[in-house]
Amino acid sequence: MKLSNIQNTTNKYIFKFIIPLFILLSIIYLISKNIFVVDMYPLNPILIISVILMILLSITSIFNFENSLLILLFLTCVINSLPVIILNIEIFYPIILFAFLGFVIGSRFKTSEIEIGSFYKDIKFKILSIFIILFTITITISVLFTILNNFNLFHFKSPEMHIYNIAVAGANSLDALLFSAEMYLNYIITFILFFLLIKRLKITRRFLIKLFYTLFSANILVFLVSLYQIFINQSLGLQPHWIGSGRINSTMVGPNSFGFFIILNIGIFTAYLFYLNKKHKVLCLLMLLILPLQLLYSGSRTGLLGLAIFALLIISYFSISILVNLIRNRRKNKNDILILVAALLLLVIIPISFSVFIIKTDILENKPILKPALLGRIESNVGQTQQIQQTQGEDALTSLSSGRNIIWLQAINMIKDYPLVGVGIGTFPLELSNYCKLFNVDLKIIDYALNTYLQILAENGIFSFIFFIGFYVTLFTIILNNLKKIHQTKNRKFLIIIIFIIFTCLIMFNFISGTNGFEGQILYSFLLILLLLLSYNLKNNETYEKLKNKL
Amino acid sequence: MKHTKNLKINYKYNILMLAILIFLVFFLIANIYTSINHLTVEKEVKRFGSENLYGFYYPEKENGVMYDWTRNEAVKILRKKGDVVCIPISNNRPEIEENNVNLKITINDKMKYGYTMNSNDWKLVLINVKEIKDDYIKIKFNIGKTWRPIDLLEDSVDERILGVKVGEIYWE
Repeated sequence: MKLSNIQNTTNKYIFKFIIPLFILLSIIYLISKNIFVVDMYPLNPILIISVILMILLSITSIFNFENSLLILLFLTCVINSLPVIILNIEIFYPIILFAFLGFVIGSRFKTSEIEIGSFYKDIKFKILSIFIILFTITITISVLFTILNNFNLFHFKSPEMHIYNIAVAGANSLDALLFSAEMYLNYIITFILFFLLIKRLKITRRFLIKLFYTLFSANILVFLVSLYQIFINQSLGLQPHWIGSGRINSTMVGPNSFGFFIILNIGIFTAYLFYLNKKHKVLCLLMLLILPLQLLYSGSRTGLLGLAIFALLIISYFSISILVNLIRNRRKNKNDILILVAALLLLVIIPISFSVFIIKTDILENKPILKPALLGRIESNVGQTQQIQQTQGEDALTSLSSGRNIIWLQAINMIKDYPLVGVGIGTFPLELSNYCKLFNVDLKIIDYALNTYLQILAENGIFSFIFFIGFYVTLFTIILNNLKKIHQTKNRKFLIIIIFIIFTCLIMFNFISGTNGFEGQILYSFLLILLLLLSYNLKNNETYEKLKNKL
Repeated sequence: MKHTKNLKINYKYNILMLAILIFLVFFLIANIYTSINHLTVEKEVKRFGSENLYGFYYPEKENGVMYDWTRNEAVKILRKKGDVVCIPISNNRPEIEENNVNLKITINDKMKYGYTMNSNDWKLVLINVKEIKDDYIKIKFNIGKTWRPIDLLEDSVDERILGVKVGEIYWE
């Protein structure tokens, strides 16, 4: 077999093994979550419409990839809290999983007519594919062993099938199955989406404009729900344990995933601000005005950190760019100035001024609900920091870090215990209570590691972690290599802004579990793949135009 | 020239595939070893001290007494802290006087005890486990007759399949 056959090997591996497993686990997951036996009476018209739309989308996605992809992205933004609103149940994994299945089935029957470029011949792309394959293989082995372990099917002395209690916090084998399946599906969606998009998506300017309108309309809907939550009813679509926290989730599963969603969209609209024409620029500016304000109400501190990093990157890069242009006496680039002013004004000055105004005035004294949750959290964090400095209080530190100081230590203990294979995919939240008890820590919670890298290491072991990091290192190497060959400023800077937002997310991954949020996962994966495809596409277009001009 | 280049590429590809294969075999062996030796539910239960292995519902409290309902079969794993294990048991089944419930208790898959429940009062089952040398004992409950409150109690909406009530176990 030749090295060039790796593409065929990859396709065979993806379509003959991973996709059937994905479909099987999705069905097991949805059955275990009782999605098929939800009490439908009295019949809820919104539910019926949603189900019909889902089925239609699933069917459409088989035949019309591009438009269905845009609908999927739209739904990914707006549908997450719908199960809580219409069924009053917590379904973390939304019904759009069905829609995604349509893509998977469609790609099986309809092969690509598109040749995106020369990336299949690029050796680095092959290395990237190998990292993806190795990562999916390790997590696939891990999920199978985890499920078998949690039903004790490896204990050959008594091969009885039971639902065991596996965590001191009260979780059993079935809970573990759901956690494992959910986490596995989240990982696998990223990589299946990767191959599907490479196989079937052609990124043209027309597609990018369609994508802009899709995300813009979704964000308008998200903003309207945010307004409803701020001014009328904060608990709309909010899961019970978040009610009373003063934080909003809009259409996401929780306030923290809403924070992540906002940062992703800030990045996307900043990139579009550079890429599109005047009419679209106004819409981008509007989005960049409302997104940071929503972040204040989501109360996500990691989101705030993301915003600070992204704003810093943009301001530094474009300041330097303008300065260099000035020194070299080049023509003024209006776009650079626009981005710099927009970033300074919309991402820094307006949110800070708004916060200072709220803090300094007593205008909201009678309406505490209108006070942004993030300000309240920062105020209490300042108090906790002083308390830590004065008394070295452990409790204050735990409260300040939302338990991260304890959770990260337990993650390290898990890594020490099982460095090669980890505790099992998706089982970190369940093992956490066990480890807390073992190390006499008073923290009875079921939570994720709040650090993506530690979570991958603790759950899947060192190999998966190496492949995960290898994937990103190769990806950035490819993109930076392609970037060197792209000379048109507009294309170049559009890509650089997307690189900045991906980089920001990678830093945010230190404080959140980036692999467990479905909505963020889809959008983030899409952005990542878009970045890769665009870098090839733009490079090839420019090379082609150059050749054409020479001839 | 082209042929030599192709051969070189093939050679690299074969080496790569071999390396991946070796890694996968190693990874599989590591998983099997850990699964059999460390990540079994029983070992985790012993290590982390969560007593109920399977077959119990979530703990309940009645008149200050903590207890767990079993299903038709349930197992607890306990650290051995004495020679006699004292197990409080009870049942709420209506008309138990006419429909006696047979309970079988097995310790470490070896010692077996039978007990017939004929009233709803709390009873104490004492079992001498002096002979057992392990640090942990595994107590298995097999219940002859289960019931559902929704079937036997008026106004009940409880659909659980209940065996017996097991109180807090202690040692003498």
